[in-house]
Amino acid sequence: MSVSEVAIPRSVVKLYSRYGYTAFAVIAFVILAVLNVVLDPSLVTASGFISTWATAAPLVLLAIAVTPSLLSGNGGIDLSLGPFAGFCTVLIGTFLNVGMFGQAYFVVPVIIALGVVLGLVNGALVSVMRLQPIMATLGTYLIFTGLAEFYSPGTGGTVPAWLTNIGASVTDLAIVVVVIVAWLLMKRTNFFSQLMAVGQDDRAAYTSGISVGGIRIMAYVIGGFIAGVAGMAMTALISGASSSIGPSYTLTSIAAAALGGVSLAGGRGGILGSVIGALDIFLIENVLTLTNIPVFADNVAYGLILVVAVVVNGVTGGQGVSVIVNKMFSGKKR
Amino acid sequence: MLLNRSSPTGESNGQRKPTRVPRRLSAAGMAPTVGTLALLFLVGSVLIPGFLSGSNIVAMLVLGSFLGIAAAGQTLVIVLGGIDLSVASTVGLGEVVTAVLYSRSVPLWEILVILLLCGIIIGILNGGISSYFKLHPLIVTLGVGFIISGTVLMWTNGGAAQGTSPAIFQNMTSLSASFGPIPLPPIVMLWALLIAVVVVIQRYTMLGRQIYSLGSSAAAAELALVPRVRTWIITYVISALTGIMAGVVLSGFSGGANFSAGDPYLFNSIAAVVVGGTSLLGGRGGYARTVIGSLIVTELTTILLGFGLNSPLQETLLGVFIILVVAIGGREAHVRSRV
Repeated sequence: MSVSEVAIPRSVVKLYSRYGYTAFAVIAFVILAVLNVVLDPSLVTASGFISTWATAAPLVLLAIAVTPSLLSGNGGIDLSLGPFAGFCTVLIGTFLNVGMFGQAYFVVPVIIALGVVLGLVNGALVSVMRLQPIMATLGTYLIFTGLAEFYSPGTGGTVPAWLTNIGASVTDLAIVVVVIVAWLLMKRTNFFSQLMAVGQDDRAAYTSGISVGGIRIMAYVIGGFIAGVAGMAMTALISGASSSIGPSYTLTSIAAAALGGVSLAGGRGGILGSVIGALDIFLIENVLTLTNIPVFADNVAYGLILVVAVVVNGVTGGQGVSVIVNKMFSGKKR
Repeated sequence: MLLNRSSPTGESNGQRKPTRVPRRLSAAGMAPTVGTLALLFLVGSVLIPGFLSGSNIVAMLVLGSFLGIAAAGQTLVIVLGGIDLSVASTVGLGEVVTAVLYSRSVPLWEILVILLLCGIIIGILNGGISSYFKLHPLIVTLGVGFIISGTVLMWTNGGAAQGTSPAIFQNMTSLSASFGPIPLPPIVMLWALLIAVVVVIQRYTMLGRQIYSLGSSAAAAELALVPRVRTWIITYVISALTGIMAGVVLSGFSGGANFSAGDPYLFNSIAAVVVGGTSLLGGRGGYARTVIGSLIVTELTTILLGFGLNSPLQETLLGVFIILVVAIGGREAHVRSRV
């Protein structure tokens, strides 16, 4: 009936229906990226590109890590991952740095295993003990904040050379890419569709025979696993141990996911949204640094873009700007 | 479709019918939390020398007052079915604005009017945006909180602008102060007054019934012509105001302007509400429970301090205890019993 309906290629429509939830974050990303490059052209040179973008790795990884628990619905949220990543920096900087204990083949499995254990504990508290996720993970948040301060070497500690070399290098970017690819592969599994079903309506999922508790535990375990990777990336970036760095990432990573269109009510969104949301936050920070605006303005900018993003995502029914675009092009159809 | 549209967050789905019957928790339901409070008191008085001394009990009541005041609005917001993550910022705002403006010799009443206006604006933003656009209040209040903290830090140039709190607030919160014949600092009396006001609001006023009905079932409440957006805005204004109030009196206790003094109140206010036994799902619980919850959280902190542990281990153990206490009083129903 309308000309434009024919004009929009099928692939574009499909892309919108799949990733429309994060359209606002993508638009913000493009604007911010252009602004950044205008202010600092070295960003697009090979070395400048890698060293700048790699500093975003911990935030991007943590934004990915909080996503599965948010998707699992019923108030699912994991506050403990920021402090856990901070605890990893302390653990590596204080203990895992001498002889065999400092080798990659020892550190990587130990940190990842700890992340998985944390995920199992959080998942069990939420699914088996049936505590409110925000309270259960606040408990583990406090536990890891305290442990990080307790074991903190105070002076920054020593970090194995192999890990320091990763910081702000192409390897760091590669880790982020590997995690994203792993998730995209997982999206093709049954687990992912069951996670989304549980997040959208756990009662319907339960009556269809999905193990709601098991899926939720798994969501927290994946979050813990990725948080372990984030902890190592954080250690590499700061080349040392810091007991105070972790907690500051908690709210920012959740803000990044929400900015990227992940619904806090569960069942809507995905990690590509969280990644773009995290990059948005990183770029805002970068713009403000480049323009010498006082660092306190960061918070105002995060807050404003976060509120605007959730309003836009909410008004358009979670479809991002795709709803508006469809309305523009398809006449009376919607 | 009508039912679907009227969920407060707008994110429930079409098939869901409001099945939960709203019921007020009975006074007897408070037994586990009161029991926990008494048990902790017993543990403290047996294990920690000086726990029973008058000065320690007064100190706990004063610290409990700050938390209790900040958690008053949080309770109403949670009963309504929301949550307020901007509390840390409103507490910090109250503290910093009072101290800084007072040392710039702005009259006290003007400071209070300014803070009142700030509270109303914050509440309209928090409640209005969450309810009008049907968004998750957690993320809206998080964003508004970021905006408040950034604005205050920019105004004080990152805490460079110092100040001293008015003497009236310093006397109010001084541990040795007394209120007429009663040997308690006036802040405790202020809290008692606030408890009375909030309990009356939630039990005997139209607003109270509207908060409970929206929290139990937003769909049913809207069919009963409860003004959803207006109630959300009023409740969030109350929450912003009690946060600011806690900050104002806290400035007297700490004596100066320190924005980060509000930080602990973010999670502690939610903990006080949940430990007290108010459901985060909304519609059930109330401020009387939060009063007990605030005292439990304060008691826990005091006991851990009394063991002479260094502050990192206190934090770790507080985390363990919060999980334990919530496990006693705040478990959710299994999905099978909600089908």
